[in-house]
Amino acid sequence: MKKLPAIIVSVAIGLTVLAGYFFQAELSTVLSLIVDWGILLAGVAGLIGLGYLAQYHLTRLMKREKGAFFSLITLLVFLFTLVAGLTLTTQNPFYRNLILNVQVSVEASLLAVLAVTLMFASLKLIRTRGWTPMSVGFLISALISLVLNLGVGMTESGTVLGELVAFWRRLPIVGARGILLGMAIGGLIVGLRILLGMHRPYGEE
Amino acid sequence: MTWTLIGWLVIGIAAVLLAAFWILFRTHDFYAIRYSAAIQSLQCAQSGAIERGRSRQLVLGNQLNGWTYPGLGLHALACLPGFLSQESVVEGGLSVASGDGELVVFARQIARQYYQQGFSLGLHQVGVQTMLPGPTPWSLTAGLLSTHPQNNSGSTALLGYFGAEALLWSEAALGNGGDVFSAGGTLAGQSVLFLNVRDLLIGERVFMMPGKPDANRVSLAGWLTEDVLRLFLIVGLVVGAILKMVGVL
Amino acid sequence: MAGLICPECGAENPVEAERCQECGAPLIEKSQRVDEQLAGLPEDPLDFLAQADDDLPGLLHALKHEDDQAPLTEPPGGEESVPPEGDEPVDSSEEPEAEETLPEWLIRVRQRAQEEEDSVGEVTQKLVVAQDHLKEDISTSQHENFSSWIEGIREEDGAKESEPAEETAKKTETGAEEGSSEDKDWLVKIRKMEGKFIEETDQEIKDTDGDSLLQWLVALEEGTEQPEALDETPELVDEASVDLPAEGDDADEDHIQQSEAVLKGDELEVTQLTMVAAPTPPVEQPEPPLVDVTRSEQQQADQLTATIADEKAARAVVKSRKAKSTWAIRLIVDVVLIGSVVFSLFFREPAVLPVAPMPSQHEDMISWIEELPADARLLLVFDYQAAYAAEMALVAEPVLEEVIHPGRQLSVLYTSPMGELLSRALLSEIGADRDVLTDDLGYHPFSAFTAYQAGISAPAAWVIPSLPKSGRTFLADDYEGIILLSDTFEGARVWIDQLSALMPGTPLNLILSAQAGPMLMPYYDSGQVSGMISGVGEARNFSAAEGGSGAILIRWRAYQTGILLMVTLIVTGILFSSSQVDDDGEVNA
Repeated sequence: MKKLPAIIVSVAIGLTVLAGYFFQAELSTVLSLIVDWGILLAGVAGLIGLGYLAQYHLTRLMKREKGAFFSLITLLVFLFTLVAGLTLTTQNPFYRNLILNVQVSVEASLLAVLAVTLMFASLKLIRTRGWTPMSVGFLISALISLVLNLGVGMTESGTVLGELVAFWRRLPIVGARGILLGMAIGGLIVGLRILLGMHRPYGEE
Repeated sequence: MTWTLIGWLVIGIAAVLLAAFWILFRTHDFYAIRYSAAIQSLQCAQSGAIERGRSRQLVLGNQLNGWTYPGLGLHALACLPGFLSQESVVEGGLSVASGDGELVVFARQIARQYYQQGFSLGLHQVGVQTMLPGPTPWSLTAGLLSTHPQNNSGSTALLGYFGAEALLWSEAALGNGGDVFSAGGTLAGQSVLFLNVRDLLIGERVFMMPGKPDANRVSLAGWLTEDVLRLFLIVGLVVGAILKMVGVL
Repeated sequence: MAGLICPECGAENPVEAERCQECGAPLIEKSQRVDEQLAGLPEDPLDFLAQADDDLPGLLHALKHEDDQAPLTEPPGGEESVPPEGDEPVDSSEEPEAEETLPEWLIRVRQRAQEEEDSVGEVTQKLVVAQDHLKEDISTSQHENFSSWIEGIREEDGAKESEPAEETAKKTETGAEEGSSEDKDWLVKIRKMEGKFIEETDQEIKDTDGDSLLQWLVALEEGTEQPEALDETPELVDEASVDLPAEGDDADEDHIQQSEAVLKGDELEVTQLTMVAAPTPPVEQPEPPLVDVTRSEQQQADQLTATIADEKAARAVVKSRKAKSTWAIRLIVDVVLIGSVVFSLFFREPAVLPVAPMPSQHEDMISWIEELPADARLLLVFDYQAAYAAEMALVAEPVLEEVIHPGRQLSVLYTSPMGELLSRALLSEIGADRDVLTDDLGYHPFSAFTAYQAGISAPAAWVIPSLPKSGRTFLADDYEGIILLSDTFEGARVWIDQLSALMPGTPLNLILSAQAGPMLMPYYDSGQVSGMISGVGEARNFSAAEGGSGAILIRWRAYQTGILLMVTLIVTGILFSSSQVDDDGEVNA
């Protein structure tokens, strides 16, 4: 019974947002407010999530679990970034360069690791999945796309070769669109199930 | 008739069908559930991890509100109860991670509620560990890799909205001797996971996941509605293509 | 229709199926394994049959097989006692006793046993005695064989047997005494243990729709009906008893054979029968209550059955991937990749870029840039992560250098946490941060929300006075153009959908990473996007067309090197995996 207000609020807001697509001009004030609240709640949830992160590392540190040293580093860097950001602000060149030089390097390194992992996984694809139509199709598509990305397809549009290359470039999009359509239907049903109150992951059915 | 109107027509039909099937399944049960080896494998991996005392990790993605895949974050949350049993919420081996604060908060609430159904919160010792290793996709990746249990990986399930970085998550889990299951991700995420994850659900099959381990009539109604809509879509595309060729459209 | 439950997927299969029709898993082998394992758990209610089988002395097994072979030459009883052709012995560890299949050494041992009583062990003596009985009167009923065996047991082993064995022997012995009151006792017990699971005909199986473990459990729960019925009805509930309901004690003997035939029969059949509830004879037994089993209950029961089988099934050993030690291959791949890419960066920079054919989306973007007024008002949306900063800078710089000039007004909006820092860094690199940056619209953490809010920012038709007003009217409607910098298809699509609907007259241009470009081409084709450029390759073309420097060519060569390596690795992987699959005969995962 105590979940009833939550269900009513969620269904009402969902239906209002949906109705906003039909009656945009009429409901724009309400919709703006709802979106503002949504952004605010999402921001607060993000802060709570960061609190969980800090709590997790603090717990590891307190219990002196394996890897607690790295938790200590994480917490120290987190605190430093927070304090520096609040005091120096993002317009400070020192702060900006410091954060960018760390963040960009770390993320780019992970991206590079991903590229290598991707190459290694490609090497093992047949061993992992065997000679199936899916794996063979996947490999052929990957090879064609990679070869086209080498610059082979840089031809004048309107020529036979240019049209052929354009066709090969767009062919994967067709498959991707099919997947997207399927996912859109699935997403629609998931949304409707929750919107209509049939499915409540936060409570009993 | 505008495209927006067509869209709303589809949504309306879906809502009506869903409600109708939901009511119908109250008394009738005629939907043949499609077998999924990947989900069967996930169930085995989950129970195997509990038996062997290994960790189980659930990644809910890094976004609740995606535009391109609007239901994906919600879908991850919908799947979460399927991983929560009285045993799993007290066993302490299950951790739920996400890159979105909202997802983490919701996941924590769900896990806590499932715990509350069987146990007193006063006894809450370990339970399900919910955490936000990083608020962006790559910081989430870095956090997941650093907190991944070394040599103790049992079962890892990747759900929700994630991109190509999921390949690193799966590699870490597989490298530690664990099993990986994936039902979610963007197109890039699904395509990279195809390379090294056997138990992988792609496309609309992703959305069969919430009800698969324990199907109820809501899931059955949802699946049947999806099937009907898919048929409508196929017919619509074929008819549209023919009309386009003829020159009507 | 009852059938075999696949231990892998739980699907129901016909009785005669050897493999699961759903997943292809072998049924016979699994069933045998499961049955063997069930036999080891006497507390399990499912394994009465197996338990009973185990409780019989080993000699009984031997005799059973003797009996099993006998009908092959001359069937002593009814048809039902003859095992079907091709039936395998129950226990594969016990060899068939037919003479033609006996090993030579065993024949010699038996011959010697006939000559010298002390030359062989006790068991062999029993076997020889039993076989002699058979040979003496092959046409004697199976009951007599059975009783002779009992006599042998009583004479030779009676004193040595433990109490349960004595009871078993006694039960069996009393079974030989026709018409006695004890007949029913032992028979009922045997029926309870074995007769309930005696094989059914296909027709019976069909008739018992939904037969399963669940129905069996339900039948047990519903009382006492079946046990009472068994007490009242001496006939065994098998096919023979249905066909010959009033044969009296002779029929009982046949039932003993029948029961044994089941025991000796195919393991698959036995396993199946342990899961099937025995029907009551239609003649003397009232119809069993119709069990209303819903589909979900049926599924749960099947799942339980499958789980029992699965828990006891031998599991494949999970190979540790670490043990494979692929670090050497990884190291080689890493070194080759990094070395090649780094090496390619040392090529000499050409003075002028070679001009390549220009795709239409580039031409349109260039046209838009050239037509921009000197005091144009532009909106820049930064929607990429720090990981792609280098690539995005490489692609964006040639465009932004053409777009951003003093006199033009620039509004900036970012949707990634690092967006503000990245935007400032990029703009400062082209020297635009102070001159033209007039409006910082700030960080919008949720691009979907932000784009949606942009879409609903139309003037309100209904004014609700009590509602607090949103303080953000961040998008003006007088931009001469919008440039979206994005690293993913998903991120860009949010903005395209909303901005193209909100401001259809405002040109929207995209600067994208290589992974986002191909998927967004349909938006260019449909006219929602004015122009776009994605990846280093297209940036190189754009630079060449605009007379840019050759610095980007170096990156382009490194990019090409990486792609070439990727192609090489994929082809190598195919060749290597192909040979590996051939060598192993199967896919090595």
